[in-house]
Amino acid sequence: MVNNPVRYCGSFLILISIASFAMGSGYGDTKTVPKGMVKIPAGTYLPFFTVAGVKAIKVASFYLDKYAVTNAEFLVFIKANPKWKRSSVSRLFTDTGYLIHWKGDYVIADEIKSSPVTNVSWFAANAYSKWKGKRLPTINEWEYAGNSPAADDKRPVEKIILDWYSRPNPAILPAIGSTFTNKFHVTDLHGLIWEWVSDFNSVMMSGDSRSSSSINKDLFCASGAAGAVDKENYAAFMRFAFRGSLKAKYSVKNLGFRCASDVK
Amino acid sequence: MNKIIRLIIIVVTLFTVHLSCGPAANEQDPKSVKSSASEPDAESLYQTTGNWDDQYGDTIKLAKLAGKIPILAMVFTRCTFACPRIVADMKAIETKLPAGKKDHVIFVLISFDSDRDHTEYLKGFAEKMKLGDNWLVLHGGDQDVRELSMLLNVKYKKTLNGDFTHSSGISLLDTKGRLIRQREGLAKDPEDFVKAIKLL
Repeated sequence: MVNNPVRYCGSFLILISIASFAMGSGYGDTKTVPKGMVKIPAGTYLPFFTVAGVKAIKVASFYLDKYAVTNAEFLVFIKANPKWKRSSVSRLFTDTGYLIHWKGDYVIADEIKSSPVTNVSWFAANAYSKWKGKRLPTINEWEYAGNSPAADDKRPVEKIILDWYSRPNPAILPAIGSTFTNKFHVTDLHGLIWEWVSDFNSVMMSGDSRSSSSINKDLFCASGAAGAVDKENYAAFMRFAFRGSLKAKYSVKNLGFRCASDVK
Repeated sequence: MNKIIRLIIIVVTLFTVHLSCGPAANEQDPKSVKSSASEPDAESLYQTTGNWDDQYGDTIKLAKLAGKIPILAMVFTRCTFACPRIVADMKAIETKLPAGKKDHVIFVLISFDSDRDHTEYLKGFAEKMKLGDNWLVLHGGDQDVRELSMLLNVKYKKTLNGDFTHSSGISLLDTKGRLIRQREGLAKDPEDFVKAIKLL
């Protein structure tokens, strides 16, 4: 039985599919990269959605957090930026599910401290990243990093993701580092949570997007150019479908983030 | 084989849900208006801090629009299809404005094109489109543009030639900068916006 990972209506978004896998092996960072980050080398990847005729997207080198931001780390941000605390945060930037799994404005249960923070809006994730002097990764950066094969898991990434999709939600999200580390030394890109990207709202879908011709031209300028390259790639399709269904103020139980920054 | 059929069903279901719920999400959220009455500016777009250059070469923050009734849309000056039609839709609203509100409404176009749409292009666009003094055409940095697109529920993507694929939405703010009405798509009846403006 495959659990459909994405369904939403209004501000409800229910995701069923989280699982933990083999322990990551913990690569050390080199001295030249910011602490806790990994340098992703420049390269190309084949995006799921692209412009007709384009084979691969070039991605410049960038830094990416090795792990997703945890509840404990997010609490430090809240303490330093009280306007983001649950009881007083602006509804412009969050919905009512914001940090709903916390016990209070500044209180989190011990067992979730090392778990990735979720139920955070794009605006909150963006504010955290700015506060850290970082930014959210772009879709291209995230997908490029996410395409890297596992270094410590024999299964292809595609299989890891589909296995994850098919598992039920655990009551408490596992700690960061509980899934696989890829060949860029980045951990948990699949299998733990979904992650915000800076430009998630560049995913344009309308109706059944498997056919680009069905995208409504009145709603999306130049929409005919956007189409899927690899229509067999169900895992990528789900990520893009999910991103296409989000709004920046949404809080989702299994949606967190990690930060990126430019290589200067 | 069964698996593939099941996946297709899931995907189709997903988009049916998306479609049936999508339009409702675009409408004004009644809850947000209610809560904003008690905490005046918590929902104001003027909380954003980005700097914007206009077609006159001035740099402003959106908060400068406070007290006015802004009608906003996101465009780029090289756009040949949707953007001129968005402007036409805004002009259709302009011509129907009640006399008492005319001086309070300001039309604001924000460019997606952080790389290319500098002041001279904004100015050229304003001239080409015959935009009056009650129009602003703004350029900002890509992070500020992205944040504003989130607030206005506009989707956009840069294409390889530097142009943009984007959704076509028009938003109405009240005098405090709160989003009170939005619509998506082109060539819509201006009446709903005009009605909403009359109530401000």
